[in-house]
Amino acid sequence: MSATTSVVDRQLLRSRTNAGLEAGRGRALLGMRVVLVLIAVVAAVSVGLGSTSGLRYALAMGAVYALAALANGVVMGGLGEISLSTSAWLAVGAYVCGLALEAGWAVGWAILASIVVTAIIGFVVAIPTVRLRGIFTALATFVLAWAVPQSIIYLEPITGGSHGLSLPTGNTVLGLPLGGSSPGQLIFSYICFTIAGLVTLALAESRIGRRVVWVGESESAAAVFGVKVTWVKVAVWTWSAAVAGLGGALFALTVGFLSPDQFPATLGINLFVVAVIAGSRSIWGAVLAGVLLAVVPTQLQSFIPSSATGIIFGVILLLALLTGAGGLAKRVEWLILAAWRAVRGGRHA
Amino acid sequence: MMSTHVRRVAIASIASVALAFSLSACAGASGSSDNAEIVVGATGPVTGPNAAINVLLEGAAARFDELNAAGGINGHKVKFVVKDDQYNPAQTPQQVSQLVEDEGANMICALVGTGPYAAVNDYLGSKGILGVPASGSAKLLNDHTYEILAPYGPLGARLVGYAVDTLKQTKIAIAYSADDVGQPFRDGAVDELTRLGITPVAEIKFDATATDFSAQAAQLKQSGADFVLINHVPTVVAQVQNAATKIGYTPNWGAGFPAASSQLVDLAPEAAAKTYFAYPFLLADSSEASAFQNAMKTYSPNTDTSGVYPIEGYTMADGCVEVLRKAVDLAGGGSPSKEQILQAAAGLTINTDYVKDLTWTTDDHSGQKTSQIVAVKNGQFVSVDGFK
Amino acid sequence: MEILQLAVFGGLIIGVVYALAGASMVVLYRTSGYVSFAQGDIAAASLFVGLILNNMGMPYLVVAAGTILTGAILGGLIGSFIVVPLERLGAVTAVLATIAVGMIIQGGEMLVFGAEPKAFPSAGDATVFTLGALDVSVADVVSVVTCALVFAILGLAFGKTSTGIAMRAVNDSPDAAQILGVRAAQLRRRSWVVSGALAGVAGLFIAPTFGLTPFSVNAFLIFAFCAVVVGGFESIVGALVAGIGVGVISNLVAVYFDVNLVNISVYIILLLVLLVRPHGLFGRRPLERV
Repeated sequence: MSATTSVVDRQLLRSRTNAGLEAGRGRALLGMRVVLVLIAVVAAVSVGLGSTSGLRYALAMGAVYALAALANGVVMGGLGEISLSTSAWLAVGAYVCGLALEAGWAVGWAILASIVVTAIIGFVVAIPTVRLRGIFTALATFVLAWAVPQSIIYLEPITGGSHGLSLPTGNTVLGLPLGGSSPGQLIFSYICFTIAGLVTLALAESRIGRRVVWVGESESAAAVFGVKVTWVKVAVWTWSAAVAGLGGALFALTVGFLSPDQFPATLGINLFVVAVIAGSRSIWGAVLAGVLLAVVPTQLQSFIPSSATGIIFGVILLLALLTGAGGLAKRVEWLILAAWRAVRGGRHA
Repeated sequence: MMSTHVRRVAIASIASVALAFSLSACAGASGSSDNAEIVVGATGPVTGPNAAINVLLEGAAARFDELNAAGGINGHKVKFVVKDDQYNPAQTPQQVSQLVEDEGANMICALVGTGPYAAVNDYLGSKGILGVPASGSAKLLNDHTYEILAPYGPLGARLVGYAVDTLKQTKIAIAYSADDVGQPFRDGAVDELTRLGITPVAEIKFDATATDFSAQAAQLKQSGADFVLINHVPTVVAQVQNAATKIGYTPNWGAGFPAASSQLVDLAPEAAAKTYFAYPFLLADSSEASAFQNAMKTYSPNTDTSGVYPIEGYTMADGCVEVLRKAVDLAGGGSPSKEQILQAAAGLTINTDYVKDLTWTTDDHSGQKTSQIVAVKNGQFVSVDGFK
Repeated sequence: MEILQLAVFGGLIIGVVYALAGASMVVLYRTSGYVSFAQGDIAAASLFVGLILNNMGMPYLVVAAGTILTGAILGGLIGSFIVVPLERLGAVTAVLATIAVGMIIQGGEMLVFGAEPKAFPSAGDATVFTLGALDVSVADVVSVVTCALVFAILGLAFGKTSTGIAMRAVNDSPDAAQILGVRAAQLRRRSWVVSGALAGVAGLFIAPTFGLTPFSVNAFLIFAFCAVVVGGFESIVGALVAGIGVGVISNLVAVYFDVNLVNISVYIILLLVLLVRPHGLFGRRPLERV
């Protein structure tokens, strides 16, 4: 009898893990996902600590872009909508952090301010945006991202406009020096990402997360079941903005100088593209995405003419699209799962 | 289920990214610099939307190549290393930290752009590295930053002077963009007008990235100005000028050197014929610039030298060479340290064929103040008023 | 008062070009249900080919024909071999494919032609007549006439011809698409050819004023997007009216408020229109299937 139950158990586990892999959430795979996030973060930090300053800086920017990719993934994975305006939230978060530091606030409070302000603005923008669908969401978010640089210039009395905003140097958090290619910045940025990522994972597994999945699958059906569809969607967009706001604050701390040129609409597109390549339903995939965007264009310069990096990105994107939705991260998860089963299946043979 | 083929593609993609990753880590860690070499670094838009400006660094590189071919400075050759930041101040710190920490650069010369340099200004200060950006912006100047390039303010003033004294035109309007290119130019022009007791008839703001300038053209026309000052790149200036021509408004124009290129003549022929440029360099095809022409032909033959950027880069590098000469002196003929290079700039006077009459004092690290007035005759740029 | 007049007429002339740029997107949307981010790059590539013809000394008509033909061929190739095959994975994937293609084309153009702006010949600079204080050139007249022709033909094609109606059916109803089978894919490929050609046409009116770089046409795309969305993807007339509207309003904001408020104003207009009339000012509401 025990043999039968264990066969049934194994089949149940198999179907649950398959489902979990496809849905991007699920208890069965939660352990694997958390471990993957930790591995990815630790890998990025160790490579950074042991390498040249240029690569360390790139990896620190990778954490920033990873947060942006996470923000995109929340919207894409949860609601199936395209968000091209993550660069706008990065800008808001960055400038708020910069202004707070200029005003003498401590790093912790400045970051908190960034998250809160970006979330509030994200909330306000989300209310109209959630009424849109599909291609219109993409266009509306794209136009917002495009309007950002000029708006920064318009707000010159606050933002320093085209002249830019220089952040005070010598920022520290809990005694750890931050900024640029310093090891402290690298470690701190990835710690922030890990916290944001694990909280997002926890939210995805919670009741709220379930509702988001229902809304993402079919809004009308979810409404029938009593889910307040609009508020769920607004919540998702707001969370996305908050995460990106955190990324923006880290952007400001890492670069140390802000100007409108740093937030063009193409950044919004690139962030979305890498989120898709790496896998929008995966937290550790966001690390992959962020590192891809931060490291590949700048480091590849040494090997190929710089103009060709655009071509390479486009080709990588096409390859990723051909391998199906879910991106590289999902493929890797499949591989891990297949390997795991092969190992365990061998023992039960 | 995933087909074998698709799985292979996925693995290949991951592997190639990982390979590039690890290779770059290796590449960065290796390579020590030759002791006799002086390493000078720069970043610029090698790629990206502003890549047209990159010929500036090609001009600078040609100067250093020319120097090395002639034996360098006391036998010390200059290794000029250029990195791509796409004119994005978010990328510049990464490239500059590589230049300083991995390539061993002891000086930054001709780094392109005010924004990009501003992003690394404090970093260079913390490392004690002399920076000479390809910018005329006053807000970049500090203990370790000196400029060779003329600031836009004196250029605006120069054009006002020319309009009033030579062209006898006093109804002057200024079209400006709210950025580092437009505002200093406007401020300099306004200051000079105030000094002469003249009020500008209009100050019209525009956005360089706009697709339509008919509104600004209308405002300028309404002001009745017979001389309009404008400072920006050729495509933008051409659009403003064409918008004006379209509504039958044909004043004389005064522009900064960035617009002085054959593109402006191609894009806005009628207006270009009525444009005067404040030009702080030698004209690329003039007889005095023969060294430039030879160097470009020999070391950078594919570069189009008709615009202002190549000679700008060559001129900047020429100035940097003078700084390095003094630094080598301070090092007693040996390869100078970064401290000696920084010291060399203090109180230095540079007066070569290309950099005219520039003295850096303790209070003034800004660039060349003098410029010539250049106009378009029969599609060619000719000097109509010498360096003042 | 003259400023108002000039701002309005100036906006009108540029608005026509926005509408032309939008036409290329409308064709694609009505057949395939998504928007291509590669149109600007297809246009730029076609213009570069036109430039080569121009430098060989060809007359303007040959240059224009060459540009449009290249656009059509390029559009057809991209559609047939890259984007339409990816449509089975969803509209999002198709859009991303267009983004990828755009990046690749841009990179190629950078490598081959570089980023220096190049002058491109126009349809004619001579003044035809004056509208108030505005000199209307041959090129302006040609752009208005072309725009009117293009929109009239598209309107007829989608409304009356069997191909056009089939294209709309393929987009409106997936069942119709399934029934039509192979023909649906063929229609989509054809719409890419037309869309590419139209991108080339729009480019002919953009490049002479702005100079040709790998990025010049993309700047126009935003305004074209907005024109098309505000006007309604389903409506040809809508794109025209909205294009002119966007052009005029941008100018008015620039003159009466601040030049640096134009972009955010365009965003707010877009958002407002999408909220009040989600399918554009002139669009039709499709039936919602639950």
